[in-house]
Amino acid sequence: MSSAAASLPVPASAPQPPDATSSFPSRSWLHQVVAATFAGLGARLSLVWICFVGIVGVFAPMLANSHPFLIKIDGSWSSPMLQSFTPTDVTLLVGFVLTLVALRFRRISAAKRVAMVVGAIPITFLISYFTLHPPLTPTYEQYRKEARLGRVQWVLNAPVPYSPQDILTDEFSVDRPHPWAPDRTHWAGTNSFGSDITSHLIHACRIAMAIGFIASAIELVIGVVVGGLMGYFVGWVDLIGMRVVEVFSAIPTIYLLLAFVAVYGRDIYIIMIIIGVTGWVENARFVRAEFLKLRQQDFVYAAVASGLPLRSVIFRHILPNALAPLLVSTSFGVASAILYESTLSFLGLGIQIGEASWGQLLNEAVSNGGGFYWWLAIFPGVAVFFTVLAYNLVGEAVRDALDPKLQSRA
Amino acid sequence: MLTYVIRRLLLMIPTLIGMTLVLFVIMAASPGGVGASLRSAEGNMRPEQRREIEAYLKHRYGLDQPLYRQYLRWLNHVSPIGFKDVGPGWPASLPFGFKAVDLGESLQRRTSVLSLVEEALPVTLLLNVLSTPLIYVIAVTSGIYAARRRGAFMDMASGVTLIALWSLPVMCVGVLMLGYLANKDYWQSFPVGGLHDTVSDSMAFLPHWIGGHFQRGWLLDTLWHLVLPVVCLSYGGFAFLSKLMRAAMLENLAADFARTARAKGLKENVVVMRHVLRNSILPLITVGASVLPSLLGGALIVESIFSINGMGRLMIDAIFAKDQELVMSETYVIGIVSLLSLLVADLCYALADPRVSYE
Amino acid sequence: MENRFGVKDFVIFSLLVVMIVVGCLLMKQIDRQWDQLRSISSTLEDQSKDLRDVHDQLSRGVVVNENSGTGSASQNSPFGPNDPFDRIEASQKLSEYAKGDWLVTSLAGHVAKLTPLLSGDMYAQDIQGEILESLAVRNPDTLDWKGLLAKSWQISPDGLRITFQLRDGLHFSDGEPLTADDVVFSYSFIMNDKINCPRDRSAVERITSVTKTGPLEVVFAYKEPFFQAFDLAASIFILPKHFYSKFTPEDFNQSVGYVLGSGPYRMEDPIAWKPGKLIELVRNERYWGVRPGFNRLVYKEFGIDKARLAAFRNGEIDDFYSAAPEQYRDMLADPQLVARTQHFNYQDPLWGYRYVAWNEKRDDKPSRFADKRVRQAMTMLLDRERMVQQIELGYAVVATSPFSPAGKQCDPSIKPWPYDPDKAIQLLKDAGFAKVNDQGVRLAPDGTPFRFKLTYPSGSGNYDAMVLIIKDALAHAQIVVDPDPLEWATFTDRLENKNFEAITLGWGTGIEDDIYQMFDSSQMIAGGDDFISYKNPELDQTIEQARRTVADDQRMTLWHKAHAIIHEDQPYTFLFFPKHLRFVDARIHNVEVIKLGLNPLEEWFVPRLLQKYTQ
Repeated sequence: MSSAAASLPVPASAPQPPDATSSFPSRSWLHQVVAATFAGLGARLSLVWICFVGIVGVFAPMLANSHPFLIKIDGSWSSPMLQSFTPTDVTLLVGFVLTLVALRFRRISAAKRVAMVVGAIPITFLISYFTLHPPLTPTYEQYRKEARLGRVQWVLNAPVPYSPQDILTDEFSVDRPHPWAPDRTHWAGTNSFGSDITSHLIHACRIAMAIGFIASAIELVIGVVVGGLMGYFVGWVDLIGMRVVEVFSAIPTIYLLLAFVAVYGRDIYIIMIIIGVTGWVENARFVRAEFLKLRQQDFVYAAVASGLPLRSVIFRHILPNALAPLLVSTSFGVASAILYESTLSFLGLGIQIGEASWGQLLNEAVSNGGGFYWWLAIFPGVAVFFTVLAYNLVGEAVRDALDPKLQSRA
Repeated sequence: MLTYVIRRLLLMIPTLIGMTLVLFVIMAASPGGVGASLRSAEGNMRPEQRREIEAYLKHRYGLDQPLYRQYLRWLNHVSPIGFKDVGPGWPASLPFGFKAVDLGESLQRRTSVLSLVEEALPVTLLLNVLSTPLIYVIAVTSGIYAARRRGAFMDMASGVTLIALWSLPVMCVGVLMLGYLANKDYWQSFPVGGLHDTVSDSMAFLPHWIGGHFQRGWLLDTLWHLVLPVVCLSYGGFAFLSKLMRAAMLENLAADFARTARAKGLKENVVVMRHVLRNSILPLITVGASVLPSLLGGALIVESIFSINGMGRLMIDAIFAKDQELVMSETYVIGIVSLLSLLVADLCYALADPRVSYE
Repeated sequence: MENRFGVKDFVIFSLLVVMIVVGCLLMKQIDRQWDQLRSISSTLEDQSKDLRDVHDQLSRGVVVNENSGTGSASQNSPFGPNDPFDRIEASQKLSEYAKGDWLVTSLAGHVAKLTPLLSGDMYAQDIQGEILESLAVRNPDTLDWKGLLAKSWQISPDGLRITFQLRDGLHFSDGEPLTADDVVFSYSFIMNDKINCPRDRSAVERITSVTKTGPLEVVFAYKEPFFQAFDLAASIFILPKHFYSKFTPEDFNQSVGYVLGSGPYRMEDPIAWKPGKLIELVRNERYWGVRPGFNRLVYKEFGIDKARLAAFRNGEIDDFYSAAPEQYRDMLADPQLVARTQHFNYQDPLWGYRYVAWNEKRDDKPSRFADKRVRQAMTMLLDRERMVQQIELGYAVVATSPFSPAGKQCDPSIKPWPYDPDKAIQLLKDAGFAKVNDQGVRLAPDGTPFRFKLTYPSGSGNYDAMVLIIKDALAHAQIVVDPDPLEWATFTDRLENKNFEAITLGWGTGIEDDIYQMFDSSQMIAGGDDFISYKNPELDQTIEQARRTVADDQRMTLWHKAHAIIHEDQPYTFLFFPKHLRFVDARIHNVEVIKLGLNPLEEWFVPRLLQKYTQ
């Protein structure tokens, strides 16, 4: 049984000499892992769901917006939706298109494609920041009012014609206080402030994806750095590092989170950073274990003997082989980051009002009313559940794919 | 073995210091500082009055001193070896030796931390002590079951179900349970919260019948109040342990000693239960140690939802009130509990596996 | 293969564990029995002491003192013309009146301490109010003062001395008599530096001395006359000297449940209560006044409001006060619940009001809100009636001033500013905010966009809803509002340092409010409550005069003048006075709404057939 982890990654661009002994072209290790992971039905469905959530997040301002896409009022055409795009919206759209392009065109090397996408993002952001002027004082109900006055000749609305910040001031009536149960106009009902839940759900996809990725990226970076250092330089570094790891793992994570968030504020980016900073411990442990195993291998001695600088030895030689457990824990990490954010929102420490995350919507489900608003619990609850489940299943599949003892070919 | 235990106990000390230092730094760096919590209780008062009160409280609790001094002072209080009779100041020439551990006084509630912890810790421990065996029993059973039917539908189904349970957010489930199972409008099978009934003080201990009417005794009443919280606390832990059990079992089922046992003619049942099981349980013991901190964390949410006064609630209130003494002393206590359980788990491991020794 | 750990060992191990568990449970059970036995024996002791007292009195041939009231139907009340129990006696004359049953109330938070003077929160004060008494109380309907422990008093013409005469036959719940010594002790106890009660001390500091001039007479002396002088003296809880002087100051400061008083209820054990333990008050059978109906008052703590509501719906608690508007509405929509409860919504003079405060100074320069016209425009942009409907579901009254509309300080002829966005925009244009930039934001005269942060304490859904409405409303005038929720400690810090542009918060009110604290320009100092740096010399003068005026009518005229000035200046945009929403179980009779809110629980009772708790 060959251990997949021991082979070095082969760049995809290098031409493959025809192998006499194998009947299929050899693929890079990463490629093999990905194929094995998504061989199962559960992992495939999870991937579909994750992509779905991602797409909904990217296209959110076009899917749920009070501003119509095209409107003709009193004879003049305009596109309020396009005018209201913020730099973030534009950057995400451009990034998405470029990623699609990059996935299609296999001719250029993978590194170049990644660089193109990654490089285009800040450029787009800067350009749009200086050229776009989205209105800062939108009055969301004006289009509905104009329609009632009969001044609208033609209108093309988004599928969900409500923004999350639209508190439906024109639909207010004393006899029917918010929150409203789902009906034909509001498919998932409204929350207690009066904003449409469906649009919240759609826009919250962005927040969920962002939290997942940014938080686990931070966890990954810190974990790799600390774990790598501990694993490579054993001795004092390891001793102190293990104490630090123990400290962070002995305090229940939620306490640490609470302490940080209660102190440092409720900005969404800060919460992402905090979740990242409190969750790196497991990654560090895995990396350390792998490094301890690998540092005695011949290829490491060879690299050191040929005089390569330290960072090259660690990051280009040992690290790619230590990736296996990291893939697993990253997937679980995204899931747990989303869960932590929901928990924080539930405890009242969530992000700002106006743009809610799924967890925040959950918080309002059993609000003071004592009346249980099932649509505030079921829809966001199901969204959180499916997303977390998807990441967990993918993590499980990756773990199964990587574990040599569980592979069916022996 | 003894040297190992002593070494581990000594290594606990820097970890404990690290833990409390981390929390102290977070609390101290907060805007408004620690004194802010003292102000929140006071309502409309004249500013001179408020300043007087703040100065009085700051002096009393030593908050007007530089941060490192505050931390060292607290450290001195809680360590069994230290300077005796140290007040808000730092006298240099006092006798150094064994002394009583003083967990300090909560700033917000003005009672000793020890009495607060005394009340809260047994409650949380009770929740955890009831949850842990439940988690283990279900995890072990389902792990064995899944391993024996590997690849079959039941294996996959149980795997997915457990992961699904793991993915359900605790507060969603807790709130739903409260909403449906404890609600007069739906099924009122369980109480809303707390640990005891209003009239529990005058209840007899054991259940009995009075005049044809069933009376839940105090014991049964407490257990009844505990059902929902324990369920909420434990359902998330099944998946992880079950997966681990399954993986270990699979590894051992294919091992040489199992093959030998089958070759000897033993029934499959006996092979699994008597030989394979024992070897597969080892990873669960090591992991079991880290289950406790996560249970302590999970208890926080459960205690919030069900209004149970345990360590979790105490911690939330303390952090929000920026009650420095309480936060640090509570972290200290939780740290001791967690680290001791880690040590116990390691010792159990050595006991269970004769191949392992710590010399 | 050696079986190190066989099934036999496992069975023995588990039996051992079971035995230990049973042993622990047994110990726990015996402990509970011990608690019960103790309370039984202390009750027996109290009863035998009472019997002895009664024997002694009979043997001396003295008629039973008329002041140990039993609520008899005599024509002349034994308490003289200044009878503090007239309303209670009237309730006890009703045909269905019966003693008995418990009143189970919910507390929306935790009580950390019950010891008087040490506890800071309002729940503890409510509970102490049943156990301890003061010299005089307000009649809950007419708001006039009625002597409770004092039967009469005289105020010196210069307002510097108040003399109180105590009633005869007063005693604490343990039987010891209450005399002038206890009054003097109460004052000196508060003023003792070593006792950890800085808040009460600073309130009581205006009294220079309390001296005993007879076994039942005391004199309170003040530095200078001020209108709350009598209030201050009459509201001090009288502590028993014989009980509290036993403790050292450190002991007292550390205590959690040392509470003994002369009131209609008492703790079964005056020193044993600990936080987390259920708070139960039993009726003081030795009470010197008219004994109330409930045998017991039970207070249950609920950390989460949802749990409190669920407990009320399940019938576990009898009095659900301070309901949120959504809770109230949802409960009213439940016919079963309505059938077995009674509901009230009333103007509670102590309930306070909500406001938006505009900071007139930023970085030592006058801010945008320093111009009166801008503030008036802000008020006219907010549809407060709509806010009342949307946020408080109609259970509030739009505010025009810091004075409660239920009180006498409020001038009822002053009407609130109307909701008029066009007029508001005109005012803004007049103040120089005429142009609007390409992002739809109104520009100040110096070209900066009119955009500000609205800071508020996080954690309460009520504020969130209000801020969103304000944001939307001001967007119609092309003004951008950035919601800025802060954690309470951070929020108070910002307030102290006046580091904010606008905030929304609430103030509590009293029966007669002293607005010196919030609106007098002298309070612009660091840490003062005039954190918006508002200054109006005419208002300062009016407030000063009012505080010195002891005669009620003249003072009210001055408060009305202050009302008019504040209405014109709009230092705050006063939003509304929320009503107190409350549900009480239907089996409790004689609950009614009066001037001070709901009548006190001593006037409530449960007819015999409806009684639920029978101990």
